[in-house]
Amino acid sequence: MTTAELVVLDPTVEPLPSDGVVADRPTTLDGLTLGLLANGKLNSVEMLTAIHDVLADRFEFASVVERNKHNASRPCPEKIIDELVDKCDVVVTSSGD
Amino acid sequence: MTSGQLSSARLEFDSWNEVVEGFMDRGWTDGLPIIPPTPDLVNACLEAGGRNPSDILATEPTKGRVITAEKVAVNAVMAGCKPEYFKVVAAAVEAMSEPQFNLHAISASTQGSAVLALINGPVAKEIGLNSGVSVFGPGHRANATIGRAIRLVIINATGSQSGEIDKATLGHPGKYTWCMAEAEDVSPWEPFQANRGFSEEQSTITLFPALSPIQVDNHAFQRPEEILVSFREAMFAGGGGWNQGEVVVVLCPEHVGNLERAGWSKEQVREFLHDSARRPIDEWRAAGRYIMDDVGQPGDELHSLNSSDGISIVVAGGGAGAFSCVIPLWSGGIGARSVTRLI
Repeated sequence: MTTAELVVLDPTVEPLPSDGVVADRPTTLDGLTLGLLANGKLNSVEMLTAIHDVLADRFEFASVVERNKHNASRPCPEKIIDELVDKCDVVVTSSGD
Repeated sequence: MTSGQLSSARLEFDSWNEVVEGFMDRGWTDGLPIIPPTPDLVNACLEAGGRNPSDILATEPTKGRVITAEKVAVNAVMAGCKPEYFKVVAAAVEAMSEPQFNLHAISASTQGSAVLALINGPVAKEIGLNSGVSVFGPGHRANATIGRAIRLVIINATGSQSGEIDKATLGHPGKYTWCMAEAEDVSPWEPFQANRGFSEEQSTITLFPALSPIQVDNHAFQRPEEILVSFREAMFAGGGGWNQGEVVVVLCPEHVGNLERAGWSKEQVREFLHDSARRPIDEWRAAGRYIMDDVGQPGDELHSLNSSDGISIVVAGGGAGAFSCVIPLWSGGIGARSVTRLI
C-alpha cells in the first residue's frame, strides 16, 4: 500500500518472552508431598480442603503442606514460594471468592 | 529537543476513518474514536515533554512489558492530548508503576477500579485543567484527554483490555477518563501536594485507585459539625477500619466556605470525619458487611477508616451547590495505595 495517505504507529507493547517452562508431570501422586496454597479469599481454604479430600481418596501422599498468602491482591510472598518449592512435589492453589 | 528514532511498528491506511476503524478492530481503543498517531504528532509530544522515544517510563511487573516514552506519546496522541499535556501523562505512567499502586491488581480486579488523576501546582493553570464547575464532567479538553491517555496506556501498553486482563464485574465510568485539578485559589488550606511533602510551587500528579464517588448533599446547615456529619453514611461505603486505610473527600466551595468561616483546619475536618464515621460491629453486620469474629465484640464500635491520616481532602467543584463527595479506593486503599509524583 505505497499510496497510503496516513502512516501511524502501533500503540501496543508486547510482553517480554517468558523463559518459564512447564514442569514435568508426575505419573502418580503416590508418595509425593502435596502443597496447598490458598489466596486468602473467603472459601479458598475450604476449596483446597475439598480438593485435598478428593485426591487423598485416590493417592497416598507422603505429607501435605498448607499455606495461605492472606492477600489475594498481592503476589505470594517469596518466603512461601521458596518453602513450597523446597518441600513440595506438586502444589494446588485456589482463588476462593 | 529529543533525539532518537521512533521504533514502533508502522501501519499504513488510506484515510483517517480507516485508521479509526482499524484501531477499533484491533482492540486498541476504549471504544471511542481516536486521533491517528502519526509520527509527527508523536514527535511533537516527545519534544514538548523533553523525552527521548526510548526513555523507559515504566516496566509492567507481571509480563515484563517495557513502557517507553514513545508508546506513551502514541497513546496520548490517540487520546487527543495537546503536546503540552504530555509531561503530565508521562508523570502519570511513572506514578502508576510504583509498586504501592498495584497497577496489575486494580486493572484486573472484578472490583473495577478507575484511576483518578489529581493535578496540583502551577501546571494545572498552565495547561488549562479544570478544577471548578462540573469538575468530573465533560467539556474540558485537558482533563478529558489526559485521563483518557492514562486509560489508553493501561489498555495498550499493559494489555488490560476489557474481558482480557480487565475482568471488572461492572467496570467504572471513570475508566474512560478521570482527571481533575484542585481549586487551589478557592481553598483556604494548603494545597493537596503540600500534604504529600511537596511545595506549593511544585506541580504534582497524584493517582488514586478510585471506586465510584458517593455524592454528599447538605444545603441545610452552615455549622461544620452539621455539614460534616452528613458524610458519615458515605464514609461507610468503602468498608470498615479493619480493611480501609485511605479514602478521598472532595469538598465543594460552598461547604469549604462554611468551614473556612468557622475557622476549621484541614486536620480538624479529617478528625471529625474519622471520628463520626463509626458504628457498632453488629450494625456493620446488619448492613451486610462480613466482619470476622476476631475484629471485636458485637457492641464494639468500629471506625470506617483505621486512621484520620488516610483521608485525602481535595477542594474542587463549581461555586454554586452544596454537593461534595466521598471516593472510596480499591481494596479499601490498603491493597493499593495512592501515589504522588513530581511533574
